[in-house]
Amino acid sequence: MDNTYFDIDAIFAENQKLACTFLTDVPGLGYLDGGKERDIKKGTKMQLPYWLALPLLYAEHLEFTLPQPFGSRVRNALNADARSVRLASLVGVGNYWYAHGRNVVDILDETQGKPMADVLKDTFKGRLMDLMDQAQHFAGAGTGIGVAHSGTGDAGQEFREGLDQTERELFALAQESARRTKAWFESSDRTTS
Amino acid sequence: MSEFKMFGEQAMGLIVEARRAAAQTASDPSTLPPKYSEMAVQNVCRELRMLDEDFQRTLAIHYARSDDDPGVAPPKPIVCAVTMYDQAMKRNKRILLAYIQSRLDRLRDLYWGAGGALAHLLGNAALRERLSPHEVDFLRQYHDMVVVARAEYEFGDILDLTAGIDVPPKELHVDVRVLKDIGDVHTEQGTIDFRKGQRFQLRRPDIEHLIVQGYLEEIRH
Repeated sequence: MDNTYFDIDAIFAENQKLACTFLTDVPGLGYLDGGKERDIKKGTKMQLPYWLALPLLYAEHLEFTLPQPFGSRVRNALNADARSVRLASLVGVGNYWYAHGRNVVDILDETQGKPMADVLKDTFKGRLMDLMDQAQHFAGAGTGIGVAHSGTGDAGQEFREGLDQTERELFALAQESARRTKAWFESSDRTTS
Repeated sequence: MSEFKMFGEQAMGLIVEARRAAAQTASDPSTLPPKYSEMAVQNVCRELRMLDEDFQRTLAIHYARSDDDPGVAPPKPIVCAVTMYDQAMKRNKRILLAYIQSRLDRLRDLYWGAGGALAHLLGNAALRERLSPHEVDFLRQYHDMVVVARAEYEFGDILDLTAGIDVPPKELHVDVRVLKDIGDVHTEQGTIDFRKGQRFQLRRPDIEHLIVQGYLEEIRH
């Protein structure tokens, strides 16, 4: 995912919601809250998608609370063992835990942003070894993550099912690369006289 | 807090479609792109126009009620409201452009995959009915540009830009089997009438395009 203007994944990730509180009245937009009110009143709480909240946060029309997928409970679990957390069940449709996290880091100030960026980085690093290991292992067993296979156990399957979207892409790439390496080894092109 | 129908929500359908198509292409490169979602695009355009009306009206009402000079920034609530309309318009625009871009990327891949054979590509009825008229125009214009670019390298058989590079050729000649009747084709060895089932040894540049288009099959030894 390259986070450019045209990137489908980036657009999808920016649709993740933030729990926001309005710091000003907003005339005429009460219907966004699903109620009958004509206006949004100061102090109203609302779930807004990241892309909409962004300029309002910078202009201090809103404030937001740190999303639960990056809250202290999840952080503690990640600290204990990053591999045992199912990232896929933390965020909703689209499954963009890292991408959403990176977006949230962008709107936090330095003191809050730095530790959160570290959480993302350490989680990724902590899971990468197992990810690559399993991808190599599954290179011969067709494509896809949900493939059952003897010898890896339930823990392995749990881990694969809990992968975030970014990790899934990596998994598929590593799998494909291992498959091609194998094909090259077995092809006649390799033999030299 | 309650759920609501958010700005840009219907545009997300296009993003979901683009994402699914990308996943399908990744697992099977021969998958054709989905049908162009004319209705969904129209609906998003309609939402865009409504957002623009709301934007203009919010400002108009404000300036009609107050004595503010239109050169002075309005109070916070008004600024917040128009910022939201503005951001929603930008969001819808981005999604529309990304949707179109993702399809054009795929069409370019198909074009090169067919060895730059436009007629062959557009002759595929299953593909043709999935494209919008604009996309067909795009392919035609893109093809014209490729033809111009290719001509620069064609002198003395230096390079055929549209030849496949998946399997780099090892020899000048290639053994082929004919999969479909083609008829007369001019080659360096003279005109050949290709009939299904026949085998030939030919100069690669003469028939490269026929392999790419699936008329001939290369026999590997």
